[in-house]
Amino acid sequence: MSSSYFCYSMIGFNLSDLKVGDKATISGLSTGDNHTALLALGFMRGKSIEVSLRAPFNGPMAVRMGQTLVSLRPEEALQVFVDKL
Amino acid sequence: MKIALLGNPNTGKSSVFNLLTGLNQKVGNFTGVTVELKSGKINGAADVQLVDFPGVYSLFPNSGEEQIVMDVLSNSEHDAHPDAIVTVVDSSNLERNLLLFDQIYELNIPNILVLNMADVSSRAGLKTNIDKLSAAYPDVQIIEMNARVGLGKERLLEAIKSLSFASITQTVFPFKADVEEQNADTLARRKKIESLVEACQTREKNNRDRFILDKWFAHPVLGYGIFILVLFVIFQSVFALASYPMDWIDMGFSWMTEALHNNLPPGVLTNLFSDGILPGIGGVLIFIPQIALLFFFLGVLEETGYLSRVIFLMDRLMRPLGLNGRSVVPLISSLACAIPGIMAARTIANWKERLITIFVAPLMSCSARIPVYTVLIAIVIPDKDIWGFINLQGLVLLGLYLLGLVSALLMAVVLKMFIKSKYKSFLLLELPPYKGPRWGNVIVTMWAKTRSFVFDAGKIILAISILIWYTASYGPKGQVSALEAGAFGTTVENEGELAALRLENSYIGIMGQTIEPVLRPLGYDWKIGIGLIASFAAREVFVGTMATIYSVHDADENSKTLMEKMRSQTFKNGQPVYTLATGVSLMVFYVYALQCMATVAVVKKETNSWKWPIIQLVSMGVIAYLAAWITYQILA
Repeated sequence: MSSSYFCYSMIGFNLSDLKVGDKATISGLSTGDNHTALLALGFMRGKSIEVSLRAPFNGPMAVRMGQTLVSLRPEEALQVFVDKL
Repeated sequence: MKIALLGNPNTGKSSVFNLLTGLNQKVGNFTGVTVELKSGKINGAADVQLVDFPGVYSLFPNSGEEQIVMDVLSNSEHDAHPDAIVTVVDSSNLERNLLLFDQIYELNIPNILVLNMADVSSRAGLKTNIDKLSAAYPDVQIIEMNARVGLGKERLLEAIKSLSFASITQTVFPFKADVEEQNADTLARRKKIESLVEACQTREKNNRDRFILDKWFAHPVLGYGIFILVLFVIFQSVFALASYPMDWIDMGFSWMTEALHNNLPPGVLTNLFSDGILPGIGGVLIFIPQIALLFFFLGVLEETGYLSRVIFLMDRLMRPLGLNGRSVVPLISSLACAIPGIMAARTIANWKERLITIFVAPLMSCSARIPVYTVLIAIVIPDKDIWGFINLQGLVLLGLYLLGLVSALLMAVVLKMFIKSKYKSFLLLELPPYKGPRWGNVIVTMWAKTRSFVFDAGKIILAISILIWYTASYGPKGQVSALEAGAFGTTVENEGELAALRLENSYIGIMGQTIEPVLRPLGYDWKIGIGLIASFAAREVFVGTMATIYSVHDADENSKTLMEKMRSQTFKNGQPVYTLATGVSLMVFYVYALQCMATVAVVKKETNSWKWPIIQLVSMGVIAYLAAWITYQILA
């Protein structure tokens, strides 16, 4: 696979590693079950995001992206690679 | 003409739908569509049928709902295939919303683009250059709207009337099956839209934070406390407010039954009307207050954006059960009544999770069990305190509720292993900004849900209740009359005894006596058997049936005479019937058994087949029997 959106960053983080208040830029999405859904919701390379909320017991996180707040489960967030700011 | 309404979730799509159709909406019936599509005639353009599709982010399917949207749109022969499309987008969030529209634009179907939520985007300081947007999508009418307050309605109506069906010559949307190709296509569109939005939308100022309430409502600790408080308020209100209209309906129908008996000549037809059809209609209408009130509150929670916070907070707790955060509200609603609970499960996109929710909802102790529990507890549980301050009767009642709750959760875990799903469970949920509720939308939701219950499930309920009436009033020898009573070796002294005699000699009475050997291991006699069969209509019917059997006139759960009669019942060998073991066994039976024809009817309607309600009815019946048997054997 050679498409530009497929990009593992060795030094980067997963979205699921971030804490509330952390800001980051999306560096890529891994292929997986929810890839299409993530893209449809606006997750794509270069987008700035901020983690707004995390539910307890490793529950879902809510990510601020522009005007919207999107919540996703940690395993869904694992598919999003980020560069922490 | 059929027009499809499409858009992302949270774009105010249902506001647009309600605005155009008002109360002229119903559940659309299309072959091959398993999710609910609302459909309605447009006010002011009656030849146009507007069909509201589920909110989706993309035409490439990632859930059952998205699959249906794709199936309908990609197949021009499909029953629900539209002649034109109105796409609703949130103008304050064009970048994400335009993806779906960009795909729809290539469908070769006439199209109108509604830039909704004009108020939100103007408050966010956003200005959209319609001309530039138009240039990117020629042949499409673009309309700015604020559907929540009805702004732009006339323009949209005009646009719909002036839709041109001249041949469209756009590129055709590629319905690719390959995920890699879908992703590449989506990314290309995203890139295009990013620069398009940059070119045609300007942001002046970015003022207030519309998510500020999340500090409390989605707080890891406080959030749960607030949720419990909200539930408490809703339940208090539902119980307090619903009891009045329910009493009125109850009294009204008793009065009408009486009036019919007094004014019509006695006969089968009079009985059919007064004892079969009328109580059947009453049995449907009695649910309306609870359904309407619950959907009123759920509508407010949804409109304000709070509901998605509940899903966010509860998702983690529900997942080990094969459920997701969206199952919480349906299950909790089922504590009032399983019917609105099961209807509320429609918001669960994943079929497997929705089915599990529907399946376990009737195990949550609903309000119809309260009269049964109250009578039985009063008869077999001593009214005393343990450790000085805990009332034993109250403790047993709490125990029954917990038994129902724990069983529902265990059942969910078991079902999780058996039900297969094509789509993986996912959350990916947008948390919309907080806003005040639009009362119009709340009322329309209430109306639509209540109407769909009354007319769709109501038919089945009415049919079953006529059947129950017939089998409870007539037997192989017809209906026993006062004169014939002598032939049974009894003399009847009053109406009550005649009624008891009739019930004993009816089909249900005979069935109750026939199944006594089966019920004996649970500690029940044939009279209880009759009560169990008759109360399939609804659980609370048990109390009334027992009153008829024991010829007690004032039949409600606080009736002293009924309780005394029940306490004094004995088997043929002189042992009392209502011992602790029998009473508890009977209560356990009611925890599990699906003794509610309305629930069966609603499950049939919601799952669109008789398969699931029958599996549910049988499996819950078997569990009820086994649990009651074990209970009796331990306590006896």
